[in-house]
Formats: sequence, C-alpha cells, structure tokens
Amino acid sequence: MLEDDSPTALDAQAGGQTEWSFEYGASCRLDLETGSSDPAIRVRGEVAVGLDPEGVVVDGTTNRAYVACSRSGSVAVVDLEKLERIGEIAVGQEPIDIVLDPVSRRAFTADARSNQVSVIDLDVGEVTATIPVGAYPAGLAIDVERRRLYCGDTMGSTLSIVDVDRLERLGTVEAELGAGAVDVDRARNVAYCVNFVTGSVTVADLEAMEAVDRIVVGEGPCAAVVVPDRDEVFVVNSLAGTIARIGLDDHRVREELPVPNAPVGITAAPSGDRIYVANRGDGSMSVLGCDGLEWARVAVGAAPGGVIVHPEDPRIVLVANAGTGSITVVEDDLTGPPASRVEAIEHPLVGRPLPEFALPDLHTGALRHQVEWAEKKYILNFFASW
Amino acid sequence: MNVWEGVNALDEARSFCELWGVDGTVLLDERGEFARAVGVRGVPTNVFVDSDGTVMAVGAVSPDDLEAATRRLLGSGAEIDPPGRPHDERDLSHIEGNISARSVTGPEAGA
Repeated sequence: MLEDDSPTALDAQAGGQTEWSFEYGASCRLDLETGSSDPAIRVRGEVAVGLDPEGVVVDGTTNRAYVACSRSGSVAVVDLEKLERIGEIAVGQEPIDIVLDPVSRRAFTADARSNQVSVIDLDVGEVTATIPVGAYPAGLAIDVERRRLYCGDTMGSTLSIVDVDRLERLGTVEAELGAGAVDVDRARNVAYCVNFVTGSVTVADLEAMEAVDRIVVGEGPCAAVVVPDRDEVFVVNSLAGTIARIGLDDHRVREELPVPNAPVGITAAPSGDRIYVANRGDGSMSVLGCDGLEWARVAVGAAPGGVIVHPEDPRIVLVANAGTGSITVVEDDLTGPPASRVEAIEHPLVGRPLPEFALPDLHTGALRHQVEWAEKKYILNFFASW
Repeated sequence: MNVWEGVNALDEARSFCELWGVDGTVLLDERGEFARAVGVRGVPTNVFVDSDGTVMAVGAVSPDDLEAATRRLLGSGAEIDPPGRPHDERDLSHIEGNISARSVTGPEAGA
C-alpha cells in the first residue's frame, strides 16, 4: 500500500494514463500498460534467471534463451514460449558473455575468472569442453561461416582467436587495456575490439592476426555492433553516455550519438534501420534510429546490460538485467520514428527529502547513519563492481 | 553506495575499490533496499543532496552533467577540482599496475 505522498501517488495525481513510478524508473514518461513510451513497443514479460545476468543468446530452433549469469557461475535456460526458466548449466567462474553456433548447436561462454571459454552442447545441456584463452575474457563474437570465435581478454589486453570446431585457440592479436566486447565485419574479416580502460577500439585483421588500426572513442567503451547494411560499427561509450558511429571503410568516427543514461549493451535490428541500447544507468532500453533519434524507451529491469534480437522473430528483443537478476522480453512493432519525441522527466525524488539510511561501512563494518552528513552537501554514487 | 553484487558483496566491492583507486566512504546496500527506496534503477547513479537533506538531482553520470549538477549543488562561484585530462592522455599506470598484479595472482585470489 503506497502512502499518499509517495512519488507514485503524487505523479498519478497529475492525471492521465501515463505515470512515472519507482517501479518503472525509466527517466521518461511511460504508458503503464506497455511499459514503454510508445504503444507500438511493449514488454511481454520478465523472467528471473540468476545472479547478475549479462550476456544472452537465443536458440531459434528450440525458442530458448541462454543467459550467462555472472555471479551464479551458470547459464540459465529460458523457455521463451512459456516465459519461464527451465534449467541451469554450470560453467566456469563469472561467465560474462555468451554466443551461439547454430551449426554445431553449441554455446560458448567467456568465463572471466576462469580465463577460459566453456563449450556447451545445447542438446545435452552441459559443458563438454573448455578452451583456455587470455586473462579475464569478457567479450565474445562468432563468425559462423569462417568457424571462428573471438574473445576479448580484458586483463590480458588481447583478442583471442579460437577455432570453433577444433576448440582450440589459434592465436592472439594485441589489443589494449580493458579489451572486452568485440564484433566482426564479416565481409572484410576484420574485428573491432573495444578497450574499456584506454577508451579505444583495436581494429584487427583476422586473416593476418594483427592489429591494423586504432580508433579513439569516448570514455568507457564496453559494447559494439557491426551493422553491415550501413557499413558502420556502433560503439557504446558507457562513461561518456554516447555511441560512436564509425565507418567500416575508413575507421573514422562519423558522429557521437547521445544516449540516455550509462549505455552498456547494444544490438542492431536485422533490418539495419534501428539499434537497441540497454541503459544500465536507469533500467531502460532505448530504440534508436541509426541517426541517433530516440524512437522509444522501454522500462526493463534494473541495470540492464546484454541485449539481443531473436534470430527467428526480429520483433522480439531480449534484455538481461544485472540488477534484478532477470531478462525482459520486449516486442517491437515500431514502423519508424515517432511522431513526438520521447518525453524525459525529472526523477520524482528531486525536491523531496532523501529517505533515511543506516548501512554498513565497507572499510570498518560500522553502521553509518544519514545523520552523520546532516547539514552537509554530498553526492551518493550508487555503483556495482560488474 | 555499493549495490546488487549478488554474492560476496564485501569482497567484490573492496576488490573493485582497490582496483580503481576508489577512496572515501563506501557503504554497502547489499540487497538494494535503500536503492529501491530512492528509486535507483541502474548504476552508476548519482544522488545530489543539499545541506537540509533535500535531493537536488538524480542521475547526472556523464562528465558534463556531473559537473553541472555539482555546481548547482555547491552554488555559483564554487571551486570544483578541474576536470581530468582527456581519457587518452590520462596516466593509467596505477590501474595497469593493479591489473597486472591481479593477472599474476588471479582476480579471485585474496578477494
């Protein structure tokens, strides 16, 4: 039961069907029925999967999602028809990313704290092999036709190249500190590996297994997606709050697109006309035209990260929510840019008293009370280590 | 405010702070109850609090937004430490050192 002066109640008194509430949290006005800023895109459901889910893939053959739950050390299996978790597959420590090979019917996880890639037989439902890679592997990409898997080794500052059939590492490309997310321009056989710490992208010639270029992007690049129809790669700069749009022919940053709040995950629609961006900072997913115009924003779970389009139904988009331990399934029936802009709104707590707190101090263990900061101006920074 | 770690929150938060050189007071909101009360739905999120306990702003994580919100909180004319150098000019040696040490011992060792 909400108190009368709760943010939800106060906002509802403003009238109308739209309402912002802490339950949704996205920083724009939303329709409660669809959970989004536009009725043409709606949340179909949310499924609890495990601790701190990051990467997600879909097996189009069985209509199942496989979600790498980094703090569970496992992959959750989700029936997308019933929208329920139906299984769990133990992998290595801290699986962050996951990709799927439909040819061999295997999935691969980057097990960051095991310095390995786990190989999952989807039909058997268990790990059948592991492949040593570099230190702290965090990002994966697969070239199904060339039978190659690419792995960003974050602490090793390398890009590992793996043979998907022989299940062995063939070589590495020198990248930079924080090398993680990676995607591939399959037409040119070139990889784009983002380096979180140095704020750059390593461009790797995969035939020669060597770096051929370096692109400076925004702060904290952590995801990338190649959009072949546009001959561009989009790189998410989480700390800068932008997406760099880069030409695949000349490796030049053509534009920096602003995005709502700490973007972390990105994928592109097969149509090539829109991208989906998970905003870790406010629990939402943005649908952007490739020119950066925000078409719609959808409230998903807390701290979303991984995002993927269903391989068999491009209207369906899955988002992994690290803060909530769930995935959100979204149906996108948008036909193009909206008639009106997404309406940003101020957080309802602005202008109101901060709720009281009494929380343990990380360093001393002592309980710290809000009153210690009475009559002081301060900033609370909410963060997670993942 | 460390939140939503999932498991071993104390160790994970401590390890993170050591790696990135985070100083100052860090509190643990392990189950995210305070984050929920504040209406925080993602990380990072900044909450700016005035001296009378009033929330002045929520969000403001981009460098420009952070500086603007900080100036509003402190009032016009306030001195703020100059912004850092562009990211491609920063000295990352301390982070590199921390990461190298972890690569030898493993990130989970001693966590």
